Amino acid sequence: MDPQPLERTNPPLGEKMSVSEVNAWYGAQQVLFDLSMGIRTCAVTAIIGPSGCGKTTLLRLMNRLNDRVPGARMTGLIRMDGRDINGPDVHVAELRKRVGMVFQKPNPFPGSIFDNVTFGLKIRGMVMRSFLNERVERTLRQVHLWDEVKDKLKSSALNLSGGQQQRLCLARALAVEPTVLLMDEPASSLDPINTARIEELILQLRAQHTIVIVTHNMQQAGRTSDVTAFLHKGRLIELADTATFFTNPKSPSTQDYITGRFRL
Amino acid sequence: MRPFSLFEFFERMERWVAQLGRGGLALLVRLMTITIILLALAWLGYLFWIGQARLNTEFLFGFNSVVARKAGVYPALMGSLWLLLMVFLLSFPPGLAIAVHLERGRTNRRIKHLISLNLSNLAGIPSVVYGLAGLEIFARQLNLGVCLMSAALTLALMALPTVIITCREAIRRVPAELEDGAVALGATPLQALWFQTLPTALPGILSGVMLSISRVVGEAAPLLVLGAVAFVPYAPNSVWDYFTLLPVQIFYWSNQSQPDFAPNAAAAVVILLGITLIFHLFALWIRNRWKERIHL
Repeated sequence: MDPQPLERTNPPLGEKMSVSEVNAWYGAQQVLFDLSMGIRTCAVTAIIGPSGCGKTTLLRLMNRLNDRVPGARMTGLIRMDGRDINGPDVHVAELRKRVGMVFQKPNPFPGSIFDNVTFGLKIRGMVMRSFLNERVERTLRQVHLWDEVKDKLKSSALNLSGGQQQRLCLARALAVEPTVLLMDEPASSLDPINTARIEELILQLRAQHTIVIVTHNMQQAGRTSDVTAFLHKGRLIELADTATFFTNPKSPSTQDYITGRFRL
Repeated sequence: MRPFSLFEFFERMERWVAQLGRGGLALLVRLMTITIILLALAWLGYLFWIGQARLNTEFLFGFNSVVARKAGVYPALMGSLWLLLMVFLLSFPPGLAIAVHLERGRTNRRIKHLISLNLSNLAGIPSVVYGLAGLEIFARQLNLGVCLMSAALTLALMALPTVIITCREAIRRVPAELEDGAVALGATPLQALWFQTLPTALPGILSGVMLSISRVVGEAAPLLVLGAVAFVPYAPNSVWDYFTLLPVQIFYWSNQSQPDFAPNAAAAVVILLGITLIFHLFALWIRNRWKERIHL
């Protein structure tokens, strides 16, 4: 395993992104209500809450992936480094390059492992072989996949196991050097060993990346995150430092949720 | 007596079918399958037997003649191959474009629904009707006359609904997560479609397109209506030439009063079946070659 830089390049204070007064709808159904929260720079923010509470929607608003969903719309402001990401001067593809995403179900492209990692670079015209080789090795080492696949970079990514596929998807996102990483229950389809690997990766990546992770698993939120937010029925119920959140929650419904006494 | 229960009725029916399946039914189905295959083989053998005298290179590369023994199938063979290529070129690009638009375009959903409804209807229209439409539109109104081009346009029009439908199916089988993944890396929707969805759907698209085109080019009826039945002694040199093709040639020969032409028709049928078989095998090969790319 490679030594990872453990010092954070940015101070962990300050906000990389901020969400203010966001409402979101699918058709006539409102799924987010007047939601405001900050995303701390180079920290891990966990979003927890029951199914259908709007966690994934919030995540997909942050890289504007919901633009692609017919009938989805939003009001309010989402800023990154102080700039409105829905503003007219923002190039969506450029935004999505800076805000990477890992999905719930591993979704590698049906090409080779090499093609998967380089896709985000190639579509930007970066095709120099030496550069691509170097980037592939670096990102695959970063996700601890290099030793497992270095001899079969040309073989299909679909032949990898689920855990390997998910790490490949993470490498693919890292290859375009995002500053923010959105993770939508990245370990929910993985076994405990691969889950532990992903969590370890999150802890290493937060040194240089701002990470937002949606999870159903409260232990996971506790283990990996610096800040935890609790969403319920599209509203932000509580947002606090993870240590405070789990030991001393202010809202009674947060308390009920984390102790498992929650009723919908 | 207990009241009649529909549920119980179906349950009993199912048990009955299952019992049959274990014994007699499976045997029956197997027998039927074998009978059909044997019948088809027997028919093919019969054709071979009748046409054996003419199944040689002389027949394959010979030109047409009023004397049955001297007549060759070359003009019809070339006409069929020309048409295969032209119909592919004329129906595949617009068919794929329309399919992509229907699957990904921003047209109103109701209009899309209307279009797909009409497509299924168009796919079911008898081929003679297409022939009449082709005769009027391409040969007369557009003044192309009876030539390869008007025939190819007519057949392409006929193939288009099926081409669109198969392309749509193939595109729809590609999971949406694939495109989401590409877009999340900063690809534009068009790049995601072009570099991920279409290559993944390509085997399905190509094999479907091949099958619908080879079926269309095997049709005689629309081109008979278009006016393709005649004595054509030469192979086409350009798309504006008069032409004939295998199905029409078969029709022509089998319509002759002299029995000498029967072996010609039989031999031409064998050749037509051979071409169709090659096409189907090719489509199958494409599908299997890229099979691993489809699942996710």
